[in-house]
Amino acid sequence: MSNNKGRKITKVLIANRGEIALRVMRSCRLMGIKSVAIYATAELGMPHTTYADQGFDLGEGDLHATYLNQEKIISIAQESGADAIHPGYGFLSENSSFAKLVEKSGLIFIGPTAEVIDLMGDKQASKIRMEEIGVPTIPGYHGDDQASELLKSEAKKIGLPVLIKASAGGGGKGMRVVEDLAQFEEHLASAQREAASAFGNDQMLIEKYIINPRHIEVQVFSDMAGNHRHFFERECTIQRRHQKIVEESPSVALAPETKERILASAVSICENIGYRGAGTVEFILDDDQSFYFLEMNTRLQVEHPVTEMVTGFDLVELQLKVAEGEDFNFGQKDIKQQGHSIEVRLYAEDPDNDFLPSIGTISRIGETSQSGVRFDSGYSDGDQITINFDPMLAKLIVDGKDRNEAVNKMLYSLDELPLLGVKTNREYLKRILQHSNFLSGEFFTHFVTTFKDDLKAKPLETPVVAQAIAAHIVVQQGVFTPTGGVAATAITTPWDSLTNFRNV
Amino acid sequence: MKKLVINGDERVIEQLQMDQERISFLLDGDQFSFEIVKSTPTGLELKSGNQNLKAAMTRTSAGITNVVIGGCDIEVEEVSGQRRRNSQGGAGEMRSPMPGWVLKVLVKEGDQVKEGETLLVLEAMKMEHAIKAAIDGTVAVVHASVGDMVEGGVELIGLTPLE
Repeated sequence: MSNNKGRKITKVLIANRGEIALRVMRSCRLMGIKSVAIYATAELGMPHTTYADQGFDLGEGDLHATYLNQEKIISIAQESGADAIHPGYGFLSENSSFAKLVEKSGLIFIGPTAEVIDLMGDKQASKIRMEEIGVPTIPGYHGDDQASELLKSEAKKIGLPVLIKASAGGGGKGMRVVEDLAQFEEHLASAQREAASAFGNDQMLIEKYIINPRHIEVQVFSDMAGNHRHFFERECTIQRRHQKIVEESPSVALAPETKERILASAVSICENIGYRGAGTVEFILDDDQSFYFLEMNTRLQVEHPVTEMVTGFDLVELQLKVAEGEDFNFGQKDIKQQGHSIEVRLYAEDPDNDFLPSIGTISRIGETSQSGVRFDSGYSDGDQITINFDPMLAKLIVDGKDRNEAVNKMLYSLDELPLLGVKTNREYLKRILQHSNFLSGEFFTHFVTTFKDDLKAKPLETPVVAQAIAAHIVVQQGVFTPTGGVAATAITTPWDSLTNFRNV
Repeated sequence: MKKLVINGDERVIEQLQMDQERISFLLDGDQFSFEIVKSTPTGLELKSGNQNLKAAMTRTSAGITNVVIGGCDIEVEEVSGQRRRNSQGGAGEMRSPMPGWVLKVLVKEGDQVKEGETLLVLEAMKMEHAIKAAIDGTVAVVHASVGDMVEGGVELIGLTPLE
C-alpha cells in the first residue's frame, strides 16, 4: 500500500476462498465495487466462486499451484481489470513478497507495507522491537542458533514448562508444550516438521509457558495520515489444539485499568511501526493482570465479526477506504463498544474423537432466524468437504445486550442450524457455552483440556431418541420426502408402508 | 419388533400405530406417541402431548436417517442394512482414521511396541495425526511408507498382541 491517495478502487480480486472471500465480496457490493473470485477447478459451484462478478479458474494441483500461486493470481487480477487485491486471512495475507509483487505490478495490496509484514512476521525481530518500545514480552530464547542441544539448555534456563514455537508460525501449527525435558527432542522434531510443511521454515523459538493464560487481542486500524485507532479487545481464550473456537468482545477478564493499558499498548505499537490498515495485536494475559505481547497479525482476523457487532463498523469497508487513501473521519471517542458479541467456529470434525477432521458432502447447512445473528459460511448445500483445506465450515456470530443474552442467542442458533451430512463440533460448542466456568468467566487457554471430562458427549435422553425414531419412520416410510419431492403422494399409501414395517 | 442402531447403540422398538397423523411405538418397553403436525422438505414438526418438537432431517440412504434435534446430531440406522462403514477391525489393526499423507513411519516389522506408542504420523487437513498402538505387541506388518497418500479406514500397521 504505497501512496494510493485519491486512487479509487473499482474492482477487487479476492485472493482467498470460502467464508472470508464471501465476506469481502459483500462489503465490495455495498460500496459499489466489483469483485473477482479465484478458485481451484474442483471448487467451481461453491458460493465464493459464483458470488463475485467474475470468477477465474486457478487450475488443479496443491495450494502452491492454486491459492499460493502469486504470479498466477496477479496475472488474473490484471486480466480482470482489478485495481486491488484483498488477501483475506491465511494463504498470502502475511506474505511480504506477495505484497511487494502486487504493488510492483501496479495494483493495490489491501494490507500494510511489506516492511511491516516482514517485521511482524518475524517473531524474534518483532519481540526485540516491542522491548525497545516498552511493550512487555514473554521471557524466552529467540536466537538463530538452532542446535537442538542449545535449544534444550535454553529451555532448561527459562524453566519448565516451555513452549516450542515456529518463528514463522500461526494458527497453532508448529507449536508444542514441553513439560518434561526428556521429551524435548521428540516435541522439537515434530514442531519442526509441522512448521516446515506449513510455512516452509522450521526455525523455532522457546518461551516461558504461562500456567494460566488468557488470550486477549486488540483490533487496531490505521489510515495513511498517521491516525491510529483501536476497536477494543476480543477475548479468544477458548481454543482447541491451539486454535481459537470461541471468541467474544468485550472480555470479562480485564480489569478496567488493565483494559486501558492494553488498548493503549496496541495503539502505541501502531504509532511506532507506522502501521496502515487493519491489524490485530495479540497478548497473553496472566492471572495477575500482567500482559505480554504475543504477536501482531497484519491482516483481518477470522474473528473480526465480533468487533463489528459491538462497534457497528464494517472493517472490510474501512480496509478498502484506507487502501484508497481516505483518512478516518472519526476519532477514538467515536468508537464505542456496545453490548456483547460471541463468535463460534463450526468445524467439520469430531470433538469426541480427538477433533479428527471429517470429510464428505454437507447435505444441508441451513440458516438462522433471529435478529442480531450472523452466519458466515463458505459452503452451500451439496458442497464437498475435502482434506485439501482447513476444516472450518462456518462462523456463527451473535450480538446481545449483555453476555448472558449473547450466550442464549448462540445456543438457540446452534440448535436451529441443520448442518447435516458431516460430523461437526456443534454439540461440543454447546457444551462449552453451557459450562459453569465459561459462564462465570473463570477460564484459561487450556479450558478444553482442563474440563475434558465435563465436555464429553452425554448419552442421548430417551425422549430425544424416541423423537429421532419417529423422524426416521416418517422419512423411511416415505411420508416425508426430504429432497424436496412431493410428500403428498407418499401420504396416500402409508398403510403399505405400515405393513412393510410390521413384516420386518 | 425391529432393531435400530442410534448413534452406535442398538435399540429395540415395537410399532403400535402409524397413520398420517400419528406414530406410536414401544421403545425398550416404554410407549411413545407423536402427532405429526407438519412435514416439509427440510424438517418435521411433531407434538408429544402438548410438547412441540422440531427436527431437521435427511434420508442419507435407504435405511439411514440423519436427524438434528435440539442441536444433537443423531443417526438412525436399520440393523438389517448391509452397510458397515470403516470396520474397526481387530485390536491389532492400526487403521487410518481418514485420508491423508504419511509423514513418518516410526516402526518396522518385528519391533516391540507399547500401548499408546506413536507408530506412524499422518498429515491431513494441515494437521498432524499420530497413529498410536492400541495394544502392547509386536509389529507384524507395515503397509505404508513415507509420502504415501492413504484412504480412510485402511490398515496401516498390523500388530500381533503380546502373549
